[in-house]
Amino acid sequence: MNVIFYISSAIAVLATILVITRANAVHALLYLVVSLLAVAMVFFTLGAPFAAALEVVVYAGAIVVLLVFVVMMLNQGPVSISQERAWLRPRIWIGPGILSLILLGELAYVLVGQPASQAVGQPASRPVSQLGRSDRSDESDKSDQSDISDRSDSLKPQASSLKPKAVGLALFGPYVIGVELASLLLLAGLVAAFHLGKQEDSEKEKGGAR
Amino acid sequence: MPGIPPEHAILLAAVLFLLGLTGVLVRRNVIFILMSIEVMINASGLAFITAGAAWGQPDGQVMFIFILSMAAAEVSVGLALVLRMYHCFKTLDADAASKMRG
Repeated sequence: MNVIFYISSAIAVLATILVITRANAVHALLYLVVSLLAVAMVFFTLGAPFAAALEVVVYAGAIVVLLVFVVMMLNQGPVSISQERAWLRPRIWIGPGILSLILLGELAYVLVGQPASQAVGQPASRPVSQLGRSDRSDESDKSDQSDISDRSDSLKPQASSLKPKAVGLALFGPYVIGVELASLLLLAGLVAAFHLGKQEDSEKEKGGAR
Repeated sequence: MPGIPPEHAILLAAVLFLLGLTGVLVRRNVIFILMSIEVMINASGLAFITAGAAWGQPDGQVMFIFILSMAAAEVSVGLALVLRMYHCFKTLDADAASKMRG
């Protein structure tokens, strides 16, 4: 599991570097698919198979297809590729690159400076319920609610990977208000996308009349 | 076989997030900016999954599902705005839309 995690994280980082440096939008999208699949593999090694499946289905399956359709509709030709190359001069990217590297160094310093915690994705070596209980008792607002503590009693993960059943019970138990809000957000997104897409026609008519 | 330290997974999430941030700062094409935002959202989801796996609780995956739905809504609205911007300006340059006019 360890080796698979490091290989797939290296693939994810390399593919993401290629995403932000390609001039051709379609090539960048294909590298984005590779990066998302590698991150899905990372999820799998971290013991979250349900999240890995969702990553493949929703990100690599739906969101990237939307981006591909838009790139196809806008019909980026060789002209735009040469324009992208002209935009990607070192004078443009050296400043943000250095700032991001400094931020990465700070984050790595903070993460490495922490005391080492227990490994993830290891079956039966880790007292999961005690770990969760003791850390949950630090959060006063959550440990007060009885249903959450009941849920953590009833949902002790047997192995290292969290089962989709546990995720579903948590999603429709204490987080059901979040589900409602997500449905509201998706409806708002649908209405906004429809509205913005529809106004294009009326704008065209207005432009023709002008 | 030792397991994966959570610091390494969080570090991977940080690297991916900063790569996405660099993409947003560097690129001028709006489609590339949207792709970089997707990378950043994905990295934050990876951080949530790592934390959920480290505590052995399903809450991290629940948060990942919320992040996923948020990313889907974001990309649909963003792409509609990109199409509209291309219709108005005939270009995908983000600097073309820098003037706020009614």
